[in-house]
Amino acid sequence: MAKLSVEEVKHVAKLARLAITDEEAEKFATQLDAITDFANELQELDTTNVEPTTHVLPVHNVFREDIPVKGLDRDVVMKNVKEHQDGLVKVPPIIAQ
Amino acid sequence: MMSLFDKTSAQLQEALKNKEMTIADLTTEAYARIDALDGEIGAFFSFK
Amino acid sequence: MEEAAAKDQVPFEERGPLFGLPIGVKDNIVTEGIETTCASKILEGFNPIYSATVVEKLRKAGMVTIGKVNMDEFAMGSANENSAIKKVHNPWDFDRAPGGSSGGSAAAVSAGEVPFTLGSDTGGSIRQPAAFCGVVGMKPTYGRVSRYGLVAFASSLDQIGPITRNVRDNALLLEAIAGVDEHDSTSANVEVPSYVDQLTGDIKGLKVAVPKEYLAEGVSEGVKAQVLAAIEKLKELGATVDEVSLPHSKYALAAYYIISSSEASSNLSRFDGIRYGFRAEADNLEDLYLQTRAQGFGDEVKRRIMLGTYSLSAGTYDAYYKKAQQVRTLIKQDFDKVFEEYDVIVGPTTPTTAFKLGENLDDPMTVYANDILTVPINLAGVPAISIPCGFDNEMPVGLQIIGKYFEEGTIYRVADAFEKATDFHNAKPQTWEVK
Repeated sequence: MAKLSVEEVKHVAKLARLAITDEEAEKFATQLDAITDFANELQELDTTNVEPTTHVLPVHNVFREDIPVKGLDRDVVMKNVKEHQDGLVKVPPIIAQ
Repeated sequence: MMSLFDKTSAQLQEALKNKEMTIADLTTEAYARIDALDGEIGAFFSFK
Repeated sequence: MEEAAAKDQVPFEERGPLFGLPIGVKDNIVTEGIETTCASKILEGFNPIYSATVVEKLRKAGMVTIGKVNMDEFAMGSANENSAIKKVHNPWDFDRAPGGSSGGSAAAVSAGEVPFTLGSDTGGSIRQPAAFCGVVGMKPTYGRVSRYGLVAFASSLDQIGPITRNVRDNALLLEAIAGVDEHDSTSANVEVPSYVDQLTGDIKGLKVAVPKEYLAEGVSEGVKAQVLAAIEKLKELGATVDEVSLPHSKYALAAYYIISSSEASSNLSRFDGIRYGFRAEADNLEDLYLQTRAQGFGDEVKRRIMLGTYSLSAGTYDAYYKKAQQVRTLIKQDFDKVFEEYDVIVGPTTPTTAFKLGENLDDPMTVYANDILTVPINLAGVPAISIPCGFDNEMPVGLQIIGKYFEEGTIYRVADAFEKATDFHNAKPQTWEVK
């Protein structure tokens, strides 16, 4: 596995919606490299025909009865929203003006 | 200042039942210990 | 305080074993009306609009929630040095870390501030600080305790658990918080037994397995000596002890970091400044996300999000995340095989005693290595406890006892028998003598 370049780090940061500086990108590249090497160890293991474990319990789809129940009170939900108006959450424009 | 909290919960319930102290005393004790110690330990955030 | 006074009015016949007793709750568990921050800037001032199921259960048991306790930011860390709010100091030596991520939970109990706390454990976050602080910390079977209201780090690994100064109190608290919950579809529909009833003090004939991988290189001589002495004590009490192997142990850390980071990167994507928490100034929505998260998250959290995002990106999915999940199956099978013949598995909880604050901060690999004895347990989903079993250079050493799925009762029986035969749980750091 190739070591991460600063460009690759910046691409990952964009996917994660994290603004990072060039210095941070350099630092992350080194740190992610160390961890990536660690992860390369797993390649040593033969996992042919081994099922992945996504959940340790044999859990199946857990449903509730299809009966409408009261949801959260909107005023309560809005308590932690920084900017809202008429029961709607306000955000800056999606496209810069 | 000694703490009540080296007692087990069973011992604490016994002490409450024998009216040696109240739940309010226990709560006060907790706040007092935190006041005295937590400046150096840093375990607690907000209080109710 | 009015709450405490009101509780004093309740007749004794109506009071359960935990009624009126004080407890601290780790700050990644939501408490309605009490600020919950996960020790992060991104949730400063966040006031939850509901309480976690475990908090509701504490209320039903009559406990008095004294406050929220410190932790590593979003439960990511092994030294409680990643708190964006303040550091936690080990009550046994203020220059040393309490462990993490439930550092506040363990330190509070160790210092005698409160007799009970709730912590959470994803890769050792209850057990390791319990070991470093000389207290009792239990990570239950995955699904034993509801995660509803626990701010998710890694959804297939997280569990809430009790931290106390003695085993019986730990068992009482677990009984109070365990159980299936309709709000948490990953919670197990398995009856909660009386754990306290299983504290018979008798472990004659108990079959104990000690994995050779857990007493190998990397474990300090001082820790090894205490753990071996503890194992001798178990033999004295009538248990049989054999060496076994968990051959895939060494791959657990790599698998853990990939799985937990991947799940974390997904879980933390909800922190975007829109509906709650810190919101940065920005002209457009994209910048709002980028700046809010850049300014709101600490370095360790960003690192894990980056790793997780990378693991899950197209092109490396098979080699990273899927491979890690397959290795997870192999790790789980190691435990299954041993548990076919043995009742519990024991070993040290950590390779060393508590390290000095600031000692490991620059090298993520050293900090990560502190997890090697604890993360396989989370990957397999089995329950495990850490109990005090001695001292090395005047710092506490923890013994880890691992059990079969939903066999917390057996773990408690062993831990309790050991506690009855020793005195380590009564040791107190000098903070108890404060004037």
